[in-house]
This record gives sequence, C-alpha cells and structure tokens, in this order.
Amino acid sequence: MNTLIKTHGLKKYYAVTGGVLKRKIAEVKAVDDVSIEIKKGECFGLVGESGCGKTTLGKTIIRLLKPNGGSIFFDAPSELLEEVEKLENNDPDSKRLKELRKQYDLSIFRGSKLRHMRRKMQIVYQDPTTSLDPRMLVKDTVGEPLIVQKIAKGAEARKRVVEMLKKVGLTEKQVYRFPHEFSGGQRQRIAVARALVVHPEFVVLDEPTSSVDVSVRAQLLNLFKELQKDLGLTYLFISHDLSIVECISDRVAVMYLGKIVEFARTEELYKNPLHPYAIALLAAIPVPDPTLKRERVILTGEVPSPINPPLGCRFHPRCPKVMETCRREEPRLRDLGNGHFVACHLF
Amino acid sequence: MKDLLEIEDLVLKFYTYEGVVEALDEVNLTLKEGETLGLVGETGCGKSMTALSILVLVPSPGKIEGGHIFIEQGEKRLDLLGQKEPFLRKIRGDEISMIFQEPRVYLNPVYTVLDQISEVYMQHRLKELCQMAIKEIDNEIESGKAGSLAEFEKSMCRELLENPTSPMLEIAARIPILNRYKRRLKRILRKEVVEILKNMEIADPERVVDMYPHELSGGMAQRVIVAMALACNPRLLIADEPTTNLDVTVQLQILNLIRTLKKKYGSSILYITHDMGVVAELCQRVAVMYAGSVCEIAGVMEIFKDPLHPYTKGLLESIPQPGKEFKSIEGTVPSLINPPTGCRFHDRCPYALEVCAKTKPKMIEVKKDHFIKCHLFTGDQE
Amino acid sequence: MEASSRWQQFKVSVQPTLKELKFTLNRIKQSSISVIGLAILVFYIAMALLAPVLAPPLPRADPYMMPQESLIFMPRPPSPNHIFGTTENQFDLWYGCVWGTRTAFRIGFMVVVGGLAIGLLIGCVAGYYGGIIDELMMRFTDIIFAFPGLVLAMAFYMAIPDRITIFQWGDINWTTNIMSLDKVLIALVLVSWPSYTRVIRGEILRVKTEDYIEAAKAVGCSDFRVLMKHVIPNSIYPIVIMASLDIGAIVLSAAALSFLGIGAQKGYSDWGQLIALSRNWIYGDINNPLAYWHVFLIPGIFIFTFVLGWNLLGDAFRDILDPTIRRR
Repeated sequence: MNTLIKTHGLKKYYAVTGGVLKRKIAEVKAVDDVSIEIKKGECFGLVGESGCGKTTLGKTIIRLLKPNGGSIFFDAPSELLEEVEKLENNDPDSKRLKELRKQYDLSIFRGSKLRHMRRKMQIVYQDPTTSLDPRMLVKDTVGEPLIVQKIAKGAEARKRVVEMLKKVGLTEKQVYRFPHEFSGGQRQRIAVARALVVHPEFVVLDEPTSSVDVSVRAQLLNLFKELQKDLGLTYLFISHDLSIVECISDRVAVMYLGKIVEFARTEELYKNPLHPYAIALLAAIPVPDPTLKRERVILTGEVPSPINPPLGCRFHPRCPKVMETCRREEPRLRDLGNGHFVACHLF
Repeated sequence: MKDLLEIEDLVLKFYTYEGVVEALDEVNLTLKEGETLGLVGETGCGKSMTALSILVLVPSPGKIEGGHIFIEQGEKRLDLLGQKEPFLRKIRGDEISMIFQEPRVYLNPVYTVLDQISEVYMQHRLKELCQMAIKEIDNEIESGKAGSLAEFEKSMCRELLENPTSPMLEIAARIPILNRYKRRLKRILRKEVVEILKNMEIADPERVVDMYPHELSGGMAQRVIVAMALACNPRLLIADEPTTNLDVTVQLQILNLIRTLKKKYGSSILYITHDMGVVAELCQRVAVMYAGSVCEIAGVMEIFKDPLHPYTKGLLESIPQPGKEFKSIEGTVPSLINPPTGCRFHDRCPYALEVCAKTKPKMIEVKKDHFIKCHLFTGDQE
Repeated sequence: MEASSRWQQFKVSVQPTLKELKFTLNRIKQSSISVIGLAILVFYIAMALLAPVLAPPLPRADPYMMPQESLIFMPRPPSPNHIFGTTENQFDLWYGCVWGTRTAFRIGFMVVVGGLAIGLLIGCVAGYYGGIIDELMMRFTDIIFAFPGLVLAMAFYMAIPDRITIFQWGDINWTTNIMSLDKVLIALVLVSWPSYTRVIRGEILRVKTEDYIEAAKAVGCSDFRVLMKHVIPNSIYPIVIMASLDIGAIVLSAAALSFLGIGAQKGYSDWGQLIALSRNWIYGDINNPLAYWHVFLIPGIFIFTFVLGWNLLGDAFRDILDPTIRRR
C-alpha cells in the first residue's frame, strides 16, 4: 500500500515561561522525535494515557500546531520517500532534499498553500459539545468548510451538506437546528459530517467515542467503518480506550511521555505485547467477564511530568524489568520482524 | 446477609421550563450489608439521581414525589425521606459517604488537603479526637513532662468533649493565649490525617497533606476524595463513576484500593458506572437501569452468563469485540419529558409485546436472587 | 412554485431563532422588574416618536429649540398654557421635556455605539492576537482609564474646536460647525470606550481557547473569518448587557456635564440643559424654599425614570442571557 503520511523525527515542544520578563525556563516535550508511517486506506491506532502526547501528535501532523522540528511528508510517492530517507541519513543539507521538502513536507508549508492542504486533512474532536459553535445552525457549521475552501456555495453547498448529513444518519429537516438541540451522539455525527464534507483523504479521530454513551459508541464505530470504505479515507484513531482501538485499527502504536514505545499490527500487539509499559497497559483493561482471573501488573506511581522526563528510557522509574542501561541510554525503535517495532533495551 | 438499604418505588420529578422531567420512575433496589452493588446504565438513566436521592441531596428543581428509602439502624428501620435535616446531616459523611466523578471539582480549591480531611473529621469524630487529646495529656502528667498549662488544656478538652457549643469555648477560642489547647488537637489531627493518607497508598503523605487540589494529579485527587469519604468509616460508600475520567492504569490502582479498603473497613459499596468491565472486576451484584427505572438485578456471574432483560442483553452485545461486527441497540434513549407509555424500553425492544406499550411491568423474582421488570417473564414465573 | 418554496425555506430557516426569541420573551415576562423596565422604555419611545404631536414646534423654527414666550427671567409655575410651567428665560418646560426625550435617546445611543465601535475594534485585536499588541493596547487603555471620567470629558470638550475643515483644496473649502452637544457626545465617546475594550478582551480570551475555534481554523478559515463569524458572536452578550446599562449612565453623565456648564447650546431641548437652567432656582425665597419646584423636579424625574428603565432592562438582560441560569 502507498504511504500517505510519513513523519521523521517530529518534535513539538511547549515553552514554559516564568519570571518577570517571561523568559523560557523549561520545555514541555510533548512530542519528542516521533517517526511513524501511515499507509493509505488504513486505520492507524494511537494509544496512551493522558499526557503522553497523542493528541498533540495528531494535531501536529495536520498542522493545527507548528512543529519545532522534523518533517511530515504527505502523499509522496514511495521512490521519493526512499530517496528522502537516504538523504536524511547521509546528506541532510543537500539541495535536492530541500527541493523535495518544499514540495511535500507539511511542516514548512505556510499561508495559502497550507490552507489549500487543509482540504485534504481534517479532524474530529473528542467532545462534540465544545467542538461545534453553539451559535451556528447545523447547516452553517457543516457548510462552512465548503465556503472557506471555495468548493461550492449557495444551493450547491446546501445540496452537498444535506447529502453528507444523510450519510452520517441525520435527516434533512435537522439542518435548521442549533447544536444544543441534539444528543451527544448526534452532535458527534454533525462533527463528522463537518470533517468529511470536503472529501478529505486523511482524518484524525481524536477520542471520538469517549464523550458519548456506551450504546452509541457501537453506532459511531459502525459509521466510521462504513465511511472509510465508502469514501476511501485514512484514519488516525487516537484513544485511551484500548478495547475500542483493538476493534477498529489495522495497526496500533503505544505512546509514553512523547515517544512511541511499541507499534505493530493489531492482532500481533494485543496477543504478544513486548514493551513492559504496553504489557501493563493491556493488562489494565477491565474485561467484562467476571470468570476471568488475570495476571495483573500494577504499575507503581504515576506518569511523570513531561517537563522533566527521566533520563535514559523514560519508563525506567516505573518499569518492573529495569536494567542498568535503561537509566543511561534511550532505546531506539527496533524492527523485530513481522512489522513489530519496540523501543526497549530488553530487545 | 442482612439488608442495609432498601429503595422502594422511588419517584423523582424535575420541574423545568421545557416540561416535567420524570427522572426516576418507581425505582426498586436493595443493598445488602457488606456487598458491592454495581449500578449500570447510560447517561441520563438516573443513576446519579438515585445516589443523590439516597443522601436526600437532590438539586432543585427536582422533587422526590413518592416512595421510601429504608435504612437499617440497629434494630430500627428508618425512612430517610421522612427525616429532618439535622438527622440527615449526621448521617451524611458518617454512615453514608459519596465520592464523585471529577475529583478536582469536588475539592475546595482554596483549602489544603489537610484542611479538607480535617473538616470531615471534626464534624463527625470530634469526641474521639478529644479523648485522644485527654489521654495524651494524662500520659504527659504521669511521666512528669507536662507543661504548666496541662490542667487547663485538659479541662478545655473535656469541655469540648461534653459541650462542644459552650460559650466558654467560644470566648477561649478567640483569646490568643487561651486557645493553646487547639494546638494539641491540631497536632493529633495532622497525625491522623497522615495515617489515613498512608492507608490510601499515597506516597509521601507528609508532603501531600499540605498541597492544594490543583497541585494534585487526577489519581491522587481521587485518593484524597476516597480518604475523605472513608475518614469516618461509613457503612455505605456510594461511588459515582469515580474512575471514568482517569487513565486505565490509574483506574486499576484505584479499583484495587477500593477492594482493599472494603476488606479492611467492611463497608458496603454502591458503585455507579457505565463500564461493564469494571462491574465484572469489582461487583458482587449488579443492577441495570434504563430511563429512570431499574430493569434487572442479579449476581454478577448470573448477569453475564444469562442476561434476561432485552436491554441488558443489548448492552452486553454492544460491547465492542475484535473481529466481530459492532452491534448496537436500535434507536436512542427517549426524552424523559414525555416518556413512552408502559415499559420505557418498548420502542427499542426487539421482543416487544403489545402489552409492553400499555402497562408498566412490575419487578418480580424470576430466578433465585434474579429480579427483572419485563412483561416477557410475568407469564412464566419459575 | 419557486417563490412559495423559498418563502417556506425562509420560514423554516428562521424557526430556531424564533424559538430562542420566544424563550427569551417568556423569561422577560416572568420577571416583573424587566416588565417594568420595558414599560418605562416603551413609554419613552412613544413620547419620542410622538414629540411633534405632543409638543408641536413653532413654524419655521428648529424643532429642538425650546420656544420662549417672552424673556422674563423668573420661571413661571404650571398653568393651562404651559403644562409644566416655564423655566428661566421663559423656556417652555413641557416642550423641553418632550423633545428632550429624543435628545436623551440620541445621546445614549450615539455615545454607546461610538464607544462600542472603538472598544470592539481595539478589544478584538488585543484579545485575539495577544502578545505585544495586547500589552501595548491594554496599557494605552489603562492610561485613559486612569483619568477621572467627567474631568477628562471636560478636557476633551475644551479641546474640540468649534469649526473644522473637512476638505480643502484650492478654492474649495468645506467646513462644518460642531454643535456644543456634538462636542459633548464626542467627548463622552472618547471617555467611555476603555470599559468596553476590557470586557470584550476578557470574553475573547475565554472564547479563543474553545474547541470550535480551533476546528474552524482546521477547516481553513482565515483569521478574519474566525473573528467575525465565530469569536465575536459568542462573546458579544456581556457587551449587550453593559451597553444597555450604559445608555442610562451616559445620559446621567451628560446631564452632569450640562449642570457644570458644558452641554447643549442654550435653548436646546435637553433634560440636562433644563437642570442647568434651574441652577439659580433650586432654593427659592426665604419664605418658600420650594417655590420653583417644577423647574428642577420635573426634568429630574424624567432623567431618573429614564435611567431606571434602562437599568432594569439591563439587569433583566443579564439574568436572561446568562447561559448558566438561562435554562432553569
């Protein structure tokens, strides 16, 4: 399959200012040197706990936030990607690399070029109550992307809006309503309609089912699957709910404190997790089966603050299998075969 | 096991601009002593309102319009809905405690952890505190290490023990030299609070005790809330989705904590959640609620093995399983302003009968310790 | 067929806003103070609209100038000819009060609209862009804020010239006179904009961080569009409340300035002017201190009830439009 998104060493830091003159005293390394590859047409799951940087990563990839380093190649053909890989390792300052980056690297796009790219990548937020403008009617909210991207206006726009709303399961009469007149699940569908009305190629789903009821979740997940087949979309599914990610993603990556610690195909990861954090995370999911007695690894302590991450491997203070090297050296992602990558000194 | 709490035909209505919201419609529930009962349902089904009704703390414009909430107090069986406010205030925090979903919202941001837990302590365990203080003073007098004002302090503590609202104490509290007796009480209180926090498995309790709520992480704040709730050894702990907003690993820690504490203190727990996984982990009996009434109550093994009510079946089937298709329940939760007639689930029920749209089913015991409210079972009672 | 469906479409599209409006009106009906406030204002609006009928102006005269029967200095008490009596120099009090209603509305609205416009502009830019622009604008606002309002207004009044040239090129010379009342209006505008700026900036800072703003940017909206279509409509409600409370306050300030001698030109029908003319008559004779009660009491009552009406309405708006208590 072709690669749609390839990030290389993506970094997003937030500066913490303090003092009278508001100088930078520390940095929150929300996303630190992340390199992932998302293939066209797949659903890529991203899991982790709060504060690990998954939402930041999603928003940085679609340029809602400006990265502090690294590159994001969008829809570049595979030969060029290989070339870029070689150049980045051997000759990072070459003119050819600069040329390729100017053409494909999202992290340096600006102005109208960036705005034009936004048509191809969209986002659905976690909480539908705050992600819809409470003073705009549904038809205006869903129709706005068409007007802004200059795709259609007037009657043509209205037709497309109604078409999209029907696809997500709402009726034509409901276009003339305010968001607060709908239930949570319906509001989330409106948000999905807004994201998809411009027919993007890539959609970031930022915990889309966390704020809705359990019985509505299944409906929304069905909707996502259908739309993916129907419109040929590529998803980045961010969630902290591992059971849902297991059902909908093709490949899954686990993040901890700004770094990807393991990623693999879904069945592989859930059957055979290797990184100690991934093992603990998967074991912590409560299973709706009271007869099951499981081996539980209860992690001590809490996630440390991303302002001062521990040296060496970031998980070492809580790791049950910590070794001496873990305290000094940061592990790199290594390919253990079968598409299974782990960043741990045990391997 | 004896019954601790019994809710009988509870009716709760909210009078709003848009109409009358019939939030609770003849809720029937029993909680036995020493057990963990899980209350499961979706948003808007009335679980939080049931919990608040037990404490008689329903916010306006809600009014409890019918039913009884019986609690066993020794030999007597009291109806909480008929009691006056002073009695209820004694019960809240002391016999029935509640912990909530978003811990930092329920902690007062301008008071430290010590202040907040002390408040609960002072409200309900003042006598113990005074007795401890008096014992300490006696020890000091015996060992000869007493200060010059020891007798005075002892008399003040005794006064506090017998007559907490006496005017003498009020005056003494305001005069700087005479309110020294408070210092001893504060010291003892601090030790007790640190001990409680240590029981909550909080690392470094001496430091945490002086922190403000915004400095705590989600998991720690939730532990502080649990500490406040258990400070007085309540007989019933109501937990309203306490781990929904927490990370999965922190959730595991908190669930473990609740389990250990339950074994240690022997309280009963009413655990409200929408996560069937947590229910399977923690609870011994489960009650399923839909649109304002309880539709099925059974033991946890029974409910997962053999769910009888169509809603329970639908709920269990809609849990996403990998590899299988996602099944969901048709339709949406009805608005409670004009609820459907008869059984409130009939318009979404795949097995609906004609009678379901007309009359409300009654709660019957269809198997041993397995109660259900459904017309499909009123015919064949086993 | 086409026309009817379009009309139907329009009806359907306007329905949710109508529903909200009906809800708001219902809330207004429920609170009695807002009904009183509304009643007072309706009364004044009627009086302003019917001014030519209630107090017919003299032919070929500026309707805003109060008619003088003669030039006798002392005011005359109410009589069948002059319903409210006359004030110093025989200006007809009834005429002054009726046409003064129009002036009051004019003062209130123009100052509030002017202050709002400047406040919105500066507040939006400062709030939305933040950083050093925010700092500079806010410090400038603080400077204006630091001066006592009426004193600064007086200073501005003195500084505005009587005559300005709008356009001058060769022989063409286009000048205009600025009336005294207009000078007062401009001075009040320049003094009242800082409070709007602060409130709008605060609201924008709050709205800026909401998810839907980021969602609008994700869709590709330009900064201007985000500001106009998303940020401002969601932060405008506190301003509406402030503005309605302010209209009354501005009229009061204008009356105060008039009393101090800076106000409309002499003979202009303006309540403040009437109070100013009554300055000599507040304490009448030794025997009868309230001999000339009609000269200050009647315009005073008009000002009082006008400001009261706007205050009650502003309070009612605040209770009604506050989203946290709206849905009870």
